Amino acid sequence: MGGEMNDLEMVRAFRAELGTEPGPDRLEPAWLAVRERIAFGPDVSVGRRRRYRRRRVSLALAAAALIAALVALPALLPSGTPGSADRAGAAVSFSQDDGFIVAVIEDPNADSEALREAFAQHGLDITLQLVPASPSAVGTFVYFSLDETAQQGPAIETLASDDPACTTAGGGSCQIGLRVPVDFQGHADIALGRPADPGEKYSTANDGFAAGEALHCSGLYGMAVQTALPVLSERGVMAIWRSTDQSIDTVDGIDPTTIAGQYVTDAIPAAPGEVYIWVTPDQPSPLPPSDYLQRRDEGC
Amino acid sequence: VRREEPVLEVSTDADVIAACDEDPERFRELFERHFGAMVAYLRRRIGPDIAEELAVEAFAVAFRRRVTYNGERANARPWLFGIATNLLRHHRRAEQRMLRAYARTAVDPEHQLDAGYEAVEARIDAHAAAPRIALALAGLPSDERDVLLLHTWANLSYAEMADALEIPIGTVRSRLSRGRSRFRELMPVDGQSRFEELDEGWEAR
Repeated sequence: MGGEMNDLEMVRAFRAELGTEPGPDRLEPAWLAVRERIAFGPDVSVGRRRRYRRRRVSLALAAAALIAALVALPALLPSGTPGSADRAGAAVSFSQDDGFIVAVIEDPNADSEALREAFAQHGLDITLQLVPASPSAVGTFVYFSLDETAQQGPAIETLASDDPACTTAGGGSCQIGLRVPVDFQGHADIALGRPADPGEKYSTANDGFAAGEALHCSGLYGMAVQTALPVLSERGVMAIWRSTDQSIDTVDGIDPTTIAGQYVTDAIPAAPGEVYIWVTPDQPSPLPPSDYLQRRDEGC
Repeated sequence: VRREEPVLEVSTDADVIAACDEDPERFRELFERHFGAMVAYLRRRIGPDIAEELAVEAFAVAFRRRVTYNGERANARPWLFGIATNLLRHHRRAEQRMLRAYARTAVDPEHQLDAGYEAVEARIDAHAAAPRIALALAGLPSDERDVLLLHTWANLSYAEMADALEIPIGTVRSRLSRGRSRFRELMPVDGQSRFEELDEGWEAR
């Protein structure tokens, strides 16, 4: 291993040590195993498709209502709602639809305990957290983890709005709840992005340059720090400066005057109005065109 | 809209997945396109014994969950690798054991490996840093290791990893950044192994 090889190259080179693709003779027995596992017939898929269509029609209204709540950020519940059962019931509304329990989140500020109780009242072991997320991750599921039992059973589906007016800041369809099979077994850990309060750190964040984020269309990538400072000031963004150089990087931020001649290479939202911005000593090359960049920078 | 289009001679993965509603046997096309790469990836992650079985399970899960597939994504590989990565979480101990087997073997040439690792044993001689890399990877928290290895071993871009893991791209970046920093910290200096202190490390997470 040469001293010049960086960590990614090192890990990539190690890949060759660890095995290769299976021979073509493995394909047929493996396919038969998949086929046996699926045991598919035409009925399975037709049934699913019908349900899918019905869901899109029946929940558009609920979707619009929830996203309005998410965007406007009101606490929907009166303060001091008595009794945990009431609190839990108000956090999520439940209905049944063709073998599924449909759970629509009603209170965008509900705490995870109220949500857990609400699901438990319907016999479901589901932990759903509403976590502070950067603007374009609000209304999207940011974490979805199933235990082994849950993975082996029928899938939980996420409930997206079909209302064209109901979109996330990034332009995706907004997520408003879950469709849980009535025979769901096991445990699921799920998190949905919610708006952060002023000063509250994001638990999860999108690309700092994405649509809806503080630095969308800022042109900051590749800009020298001294040039970037007035741009940030104009946008009312507080930067926490970070460096790709591990010897000077600190999580609390670097004094920008010490890196004035360095260049912006990345940005991750930290909290409302605060962004971690990474710099590098050499001006980074322009990013190669990609579908992602085209979507991200649309309208800039 | 895509679901209603006639089947073209050259279909994207999204076309094939949509066509499975009418003809489930078409799922085989998706399987044939990605099975080899997925097994190769899983062999590297948890060894040859479990890899194929896990790949079969991943495709079965993919079939059952195909209604959740985003039809705007022509290439289904990130989605499939995301499913495989979720399944891998139940095999963390196997992964830890395998990574540490490399390190032990290189440190102690007398150590007997399982038959499946013979080819690897021979290669390690030609690749002095491999055991140190294996140890460092074993020491990473699993979410950081997932991102680092999807990027370097499965060649997924940031956006594809975000799709695969169903997390925002910013989270991908921060996990990769943290994983890389930790990886560099864990690379033992001058051949000094940190194997013992890693033994209890992240396994419980």
